[in-house]
Amino acid sequence: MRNIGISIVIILLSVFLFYDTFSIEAAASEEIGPTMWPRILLVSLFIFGFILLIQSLYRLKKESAEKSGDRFDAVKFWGFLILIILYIPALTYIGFIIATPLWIFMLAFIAGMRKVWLLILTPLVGTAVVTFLFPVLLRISMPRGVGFMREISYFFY
Amino acid sequence: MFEDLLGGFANVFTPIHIIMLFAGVFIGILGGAIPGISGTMLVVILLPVAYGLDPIPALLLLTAVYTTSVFSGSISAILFNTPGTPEAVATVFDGYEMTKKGKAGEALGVAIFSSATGGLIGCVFLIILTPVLASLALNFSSPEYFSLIFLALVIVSVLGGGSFVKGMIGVLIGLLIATVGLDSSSGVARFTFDVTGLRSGIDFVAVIIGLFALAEVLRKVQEDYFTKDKTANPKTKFPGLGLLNRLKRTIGQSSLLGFFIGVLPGVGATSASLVSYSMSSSFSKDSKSFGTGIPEGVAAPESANNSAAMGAIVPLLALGIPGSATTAVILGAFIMNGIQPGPLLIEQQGMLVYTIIGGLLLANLSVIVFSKPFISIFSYILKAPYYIIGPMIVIFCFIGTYAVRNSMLDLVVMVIAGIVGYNLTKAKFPLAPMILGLVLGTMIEDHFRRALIISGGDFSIFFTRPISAVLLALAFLSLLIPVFKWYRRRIMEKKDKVLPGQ
Repeated sequence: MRNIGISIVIILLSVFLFYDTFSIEAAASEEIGPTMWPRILLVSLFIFGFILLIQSLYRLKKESAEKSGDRFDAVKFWGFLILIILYIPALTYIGFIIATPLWIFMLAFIAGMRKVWLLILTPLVGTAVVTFLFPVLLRISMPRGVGFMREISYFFY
Repeated sequence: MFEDLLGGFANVFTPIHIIMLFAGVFIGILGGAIPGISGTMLVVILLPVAYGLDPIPALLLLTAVYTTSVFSGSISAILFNTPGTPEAVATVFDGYEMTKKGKAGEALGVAIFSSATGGLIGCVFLIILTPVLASLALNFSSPEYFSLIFLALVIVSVLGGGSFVKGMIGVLIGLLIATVGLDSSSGVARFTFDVTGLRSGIDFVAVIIGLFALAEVLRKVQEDYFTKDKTANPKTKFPGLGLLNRLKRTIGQSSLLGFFIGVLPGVGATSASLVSYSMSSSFSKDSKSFGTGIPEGVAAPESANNSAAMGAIVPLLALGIPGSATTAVILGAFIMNGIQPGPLLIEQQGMLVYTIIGGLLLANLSVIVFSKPFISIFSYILKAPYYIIGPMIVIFCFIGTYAVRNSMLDLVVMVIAGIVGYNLTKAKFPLAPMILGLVLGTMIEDHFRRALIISGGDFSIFFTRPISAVLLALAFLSLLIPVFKWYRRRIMEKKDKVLPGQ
């Protein structure tokens, strides 16, 4: 099923991007302009996406009873995914130094950590290590957040 | 060349270089041994560190991690029946059986010895073959380069694991991602959809971190990786002379085989170890004892995967075309540091090339020296549960991506790549083709356009120049491999139908 979905996305994507190549402002005189290569790629992508669709439809008919043996843990998957997505605005507004221990705590809890001392220690030690390694030692300036949280970050790096 | 070689080796022993090298060895052995962290992921996560350093120490660090993680995956394969890295899959077959027989120490000793030997043999071939290949490639111009990259991309789709169609789709997506942004020769914006941040292109580090590291966390967090085995602390026992004599043929053959498999684009150490395991078992006099816990079954995959890891560096250094996913990431590290690997590199920056090679030699040697004391410390750390590792990898993914150009857009790209990568791997899409397509995308387009400008738009230039024609012919020939596989499968299916129950 997943294969069918992916192939449909690929076919639609290639058609959409092919249409978009017409908005690329290429000089008309240029024969080997900036649009030729992407168009070759997109036509090939369309063809392979179509082959994949036919293959998956054919296999679906043949092996409809086949079940995937993968486990899917909805709480862990969605929990991680949502936290990962929210970490981007958190970095922007709360800043690296405050957001990171909070996020390590939440991620570890979702991943199954239940011991209280580990839940307190892991975020603190983890944040200390990465802060020392990247912003301090390697001078990588991680986002500082806004307002007073910005001021706090200056204590650390 | 000989002077460069000596100079390079001497250069490894500069304090900062040797510190970085040993840091790489340590991180590689430790990280590779922990199930759920692959060598590719380690190199990817360490990319931001490579920013903060000069090119040579940065590359020494990354290549040392790359080399040693291929070995250390075998530690957890032998002790806990869980390969620490994909490369150690075949080591489980006999390694864990040996542990069950109470021979864990001997299995570890054989793994360490075969890995180091395989790596060293690979290194010797690397030293011999790289300049030869580079000098051959000096005669190449754009049409040849186009055909060579085309061949590499076709081979990675055919042999990269998974179906050919999925491999090709991966390559094409990678190539397309590389076209986003301002076109380098005409300056026109492509697929930017009026997003200013996209004009400078999609950063490949963000895509790679998303595809390899973040997607992996999303997958692994759902599995229970906590090893409940309480294996007693094993004493590593190096093979004695008698056993060495018995293993020398297996190690020699597997190292050779592994090296040449590694040179092929997209076919990395994992395939090399599987192929050499099955070759050794089918050519062995007592092939039936493979899988029951014999040292040959550990020596074959372990020498092959380390040798293959060295093989994959040959096309990277000589042609600028990586031989595997991890070397594609290392190519990225070269480019980030303003170095373009290719045939001219060895001529213009021989010192750099030979320092890296010297570092690889030393990293392989240090596997013998360091792994024995490390393993006893490791048996505690190896049991680190995923609820500690997973969240930390997530944070590393964000820092690694942000460090490249301090861009929030890159973080968004990384998360999207992670979600896409998760779905693609669930649907059994191999990721190596996409990475190779992405890393080689700009190069193949440039050569394609330059070749057509030389010929005045005539496509026959790719077929009339002899080297280019041969490379393209090889590419089209390798397209027959999936057809052949399909045909063989059909014959087998027919046989099964004719002889049911057999």
